[in-house]
Amino acid sequence: RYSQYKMKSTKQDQESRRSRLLEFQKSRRFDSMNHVRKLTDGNWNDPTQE
Amino acid sequence: IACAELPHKLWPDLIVNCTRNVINPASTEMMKESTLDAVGYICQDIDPEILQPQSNDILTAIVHAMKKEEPSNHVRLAATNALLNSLEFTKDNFEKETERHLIMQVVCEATQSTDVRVRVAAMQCLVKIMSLFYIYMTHYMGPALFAITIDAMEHENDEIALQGIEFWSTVCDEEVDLAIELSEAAEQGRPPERTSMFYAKGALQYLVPILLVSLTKQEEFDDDDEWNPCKAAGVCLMLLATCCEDDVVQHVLPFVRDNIRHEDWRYRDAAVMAFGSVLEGPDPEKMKPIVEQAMPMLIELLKDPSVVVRDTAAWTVGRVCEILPNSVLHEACLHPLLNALVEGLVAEPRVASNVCWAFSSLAEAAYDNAEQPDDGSEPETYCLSNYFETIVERLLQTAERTDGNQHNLRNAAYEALMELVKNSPKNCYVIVQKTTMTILERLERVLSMESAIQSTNDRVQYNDLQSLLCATLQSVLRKVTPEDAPKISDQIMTALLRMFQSTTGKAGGVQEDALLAMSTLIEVLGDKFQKYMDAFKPYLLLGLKNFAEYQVCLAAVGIVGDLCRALGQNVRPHCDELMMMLLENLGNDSVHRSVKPQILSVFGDIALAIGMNFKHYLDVVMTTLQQASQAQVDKTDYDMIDYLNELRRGCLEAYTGIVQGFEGRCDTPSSDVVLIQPHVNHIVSFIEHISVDDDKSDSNVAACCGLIGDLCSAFSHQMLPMVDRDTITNLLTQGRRSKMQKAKTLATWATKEIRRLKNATSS
Repeated sequence: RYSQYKMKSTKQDQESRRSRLLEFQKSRRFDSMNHVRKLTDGNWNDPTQE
Repeated sequence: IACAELPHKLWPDLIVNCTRNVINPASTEMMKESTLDAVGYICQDIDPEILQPQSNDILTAIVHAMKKEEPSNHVRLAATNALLNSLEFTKDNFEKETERHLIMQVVCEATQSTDVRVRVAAMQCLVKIMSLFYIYMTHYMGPALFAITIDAMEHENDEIALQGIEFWSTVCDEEVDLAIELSEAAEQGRPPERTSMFYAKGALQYLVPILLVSLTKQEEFDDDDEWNPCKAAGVCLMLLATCCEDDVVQHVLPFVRDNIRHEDWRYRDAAVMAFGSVLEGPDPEKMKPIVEQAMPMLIELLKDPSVVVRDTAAWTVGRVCEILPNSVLHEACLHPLLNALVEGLVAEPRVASNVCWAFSSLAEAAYDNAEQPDDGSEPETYCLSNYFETIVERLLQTAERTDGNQHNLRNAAYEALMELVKNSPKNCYVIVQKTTMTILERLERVLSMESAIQSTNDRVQYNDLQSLLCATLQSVLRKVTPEDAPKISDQIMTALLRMFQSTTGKAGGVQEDALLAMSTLIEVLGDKFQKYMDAFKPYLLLGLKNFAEYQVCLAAVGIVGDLCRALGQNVRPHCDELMMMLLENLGNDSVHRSVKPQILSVFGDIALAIGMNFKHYLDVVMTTLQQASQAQVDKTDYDMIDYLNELRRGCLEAYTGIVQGFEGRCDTPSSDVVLIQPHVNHIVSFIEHISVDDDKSDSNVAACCGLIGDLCSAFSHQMLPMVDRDTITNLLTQGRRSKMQKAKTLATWATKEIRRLKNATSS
């Protein structure tokens, strides 16, 4: 309960930063895979371009 | 000793002897008390399942000693504490009406004991009973519990009052959960398993006035860490607002109006606290005009003569900014508010810390409200643009305050800065650039101070500061344009490498934040990171080996994936070493389980980056994936269900990366795809296995659909017999109907791929 008193939320503590980066990585992985599937917007002729 | 022996079925007569000692009329007071103490400790520490078969005997003894006929308060107290510790395994007894009545009777009687300690312990039992057995309380609430707890809340003894308040906070927790259960059940078109009796709503008119009085009972120099009825009342009011929503407002507002200008600071503080506590829960539309009307007064109270009131006012403003930002994000209010907040940054640490939090919330809300371009790029400007430079400067100053270690102020200031940078529009970019340089300078300065550290406390603060600076660096880097990133990358690399080399860099938290900053640098630099690989690799390997601090290991694993995406084929010279370490970690029982799914996903990243060169690792990776994909967990444990989904996701991403990498990117198909052929059967049955699991996650449905599509494009018509099965068809249907866009897209794509193959075969 003590932690609920005058509680301030945070989106920038280490735990949040950690999980946000993990989400970034997951989403970039997803984009890379969809790039191969030609399911994202962008230039398809250059295979090195993300 | 009991906790060590009973699980191994040793000491079988212990509980029998204990209960006999308690019930035997010839036992001395000391014997009964000591025995009950022992029973209480055993119940507290042992796995409840072990005592389950003897729970009736234990309970009978405890209840016997709790009765009001028991002449010794020592015995009664020991019994009540023992009951408190054994409630977890009394579910069967609570289900039986007569036994429940008896337990409730002795507990309620004990709450009326003249001994305060017995009374407090009995109240603690009531609180726990309410949280464990809510559904059985109907019979007792009106005739007993309501009166007992209201009486306790008003009691002059703080310990008793705290338990009274806690009882109602627990009721709110339960009823909020029940409301969630109800809406989930409604969504799934079924009746809920348990229903709320709306006790909190019914008692609101009696509870709120008592809580408001409790809010006024504080002293200026009360210990920050001490839990007292004033603080408990604040939390309870907040929970009542969440639970009872609109209904709470009418009971609180008259008190706020009457007391916000009261000459006694305690009443002013209670009024602001009450107002701040009920902001969340009631309909935001209903609260908006009320908040708008209150804002000038709240701003004025940021300068109240009492520091307690200033602190509560700053917290309340912070809550307004977080919960109802639209009440303040208009020019009439914004200008005076921002002025007051900037001034508030130089107030006492506890006040300034709340102000930082208000800035964090305002930044996010302002960004969300900005005009978003259709192409998904950053907005050009937003309502904080004119103030941005001043706010950033003042936050940077606040972060350097010598008293920044108090009330978490330094963290709050850097966190607000990160949030402002993250949520900044294009026309604030110059200031973001300037901030990047300031942060780099600070990082360099801090690194040169390491030799001056003397005490452990200095070390902790020094480490925290480095973590914060790395995190801030990460947030500014994410905003830096691809053109600007190479201009500052040398300086950033030098600082980060220096951190890894220093003693501080060995501390887990710092090492992790430095790796997270590195991850962002790799992302913004892309293949331009290549030139730093030799310098960075030793520290990456150290991170991968740091499985004692698994968060560091996890960050390092993530970086391997980042490097694959940034460097593509150029990651190849490093692969033998990296693959060896990843495989080692995977097989190492000391590596935390949360790292393992990520390692599997990174196998996919590597395969995708180096294509057919992955064939050196194919056998070992495929064997590993086969094992991991057959993992089973205890399905009664929600955490393990989540873990299984993560592990499966890792396998699916690894398979996807391998299939895509071997198939060859774009228009350059590779003949090596045949190497995967022997594994296709297993991959498909793995997908089928997931498809029939009721606990599968949406993202796994998406990943399965994607992999089906990939297999179809890699193996063409050979796949048709394997995907033309009900399990696969059902999975694709689920994907297409999913609420998750990714699953929809991939299921639709895979369905089209299958149809394309069918059409090609039939023609």
